[in-house]
Amino acid sequence: MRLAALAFMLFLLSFGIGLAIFPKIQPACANSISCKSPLTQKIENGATGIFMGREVPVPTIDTLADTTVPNVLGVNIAEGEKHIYVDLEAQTLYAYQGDTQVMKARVSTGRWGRTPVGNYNIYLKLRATRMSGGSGADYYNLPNVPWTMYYSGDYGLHGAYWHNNFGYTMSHGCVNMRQIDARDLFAWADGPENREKGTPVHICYSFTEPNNCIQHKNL
Amino acid sequence: MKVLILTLAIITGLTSSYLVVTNIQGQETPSPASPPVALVESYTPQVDTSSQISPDGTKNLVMKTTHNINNTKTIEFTTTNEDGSNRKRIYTTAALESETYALPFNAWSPDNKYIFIFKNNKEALVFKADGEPILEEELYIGVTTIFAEKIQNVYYDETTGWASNTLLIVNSTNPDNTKGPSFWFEVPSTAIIQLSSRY
Repeated sequence: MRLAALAFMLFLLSFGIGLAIFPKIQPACANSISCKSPLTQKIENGATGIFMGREVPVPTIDTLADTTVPNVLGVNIAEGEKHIYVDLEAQTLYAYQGDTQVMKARVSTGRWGRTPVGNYNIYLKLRATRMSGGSGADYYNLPNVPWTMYYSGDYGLHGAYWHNNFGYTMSHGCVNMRQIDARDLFAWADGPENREKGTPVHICYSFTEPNNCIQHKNL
Repeated sequence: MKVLILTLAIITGLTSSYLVVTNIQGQETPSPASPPVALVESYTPQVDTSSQISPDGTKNLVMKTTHNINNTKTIEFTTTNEDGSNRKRIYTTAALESETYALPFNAWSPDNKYIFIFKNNKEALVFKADGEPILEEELYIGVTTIFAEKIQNVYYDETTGWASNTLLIVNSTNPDNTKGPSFWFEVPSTAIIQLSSRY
């Protein structure tokens, strides 16, 4: 009888500890299917995408034409450390070079999965890749996701061609951008190079200026 | 001597007065040969232009507002390619200065086939981006009007953007002024589908 009581108490204790810990564990994947495979560049012109149960025409990617894309961010700005800030509350991304803001753009972050708050660095840049996940009516499978910049697992900043509802949550955890904005940011931001980490990415609940990225919620 | 001085004074006075009079006349009296000058008030209308690029950067939606003299304005919407070519006239309308038209940030459908604009702040009008009628004999779809006709329990609040190539996202307000559910508004069928969550 005593043993049963002890076991029950231990169960309750473990259960309580589990409740305290598990909500704080960061979700492993933004894209539940594609994040299991290696994150590699995939250009699949002519493929069809699926989003919210509907077929989506996929834009053709011409990598030869990329050479004509001009660098527009940070031009004529003195050298300075680059930082990207994402304001989840305002659904807005800011890019800074030193003290100078070089980009302010509306984005769409996690709606069906959350976008984890934290400080990261871009560790992989891909011209395009395939992202898939969800199930049932929520299933999606999107080739040629352009200008992808991964900063944590398969969480990344990337262009989104399947919706145009920027300024509102619309993703499974990644940071969706207009294709033109993602293109410009991709050209400006750095991946890891010569043992240097890539451009820092700060995901904030709210953001007002560099060094004022709020990453805790006042209860 | 005295007479000489007086004579000189008279001659000098007469000469001076003559010069002054002729000088004034030369300045202020128009020559009889000059044509009369008609004063015509000219009016150059003020023209404002704004634009919204498509998310892929290949198209541009332009709103040109011409402010007329009689407290009215003419608003013209056009679409073009990125380089200004392939100009299509979408919609031209006259309005009072108190009425407003605006280009939403998310105006373009993801495939660039449709655009929507705001009238009087939040009223959404949807057009085909090539200028063709969106429905038979209808140049545009008034989302707000159709929403009010089909949905009775909540009020139209705003159109935020495109969930897909043909689905607009519409937010609503409850009768008690709290936030209501979101809806999909399908173009061009005008079907309205209630969603389980709010955008």
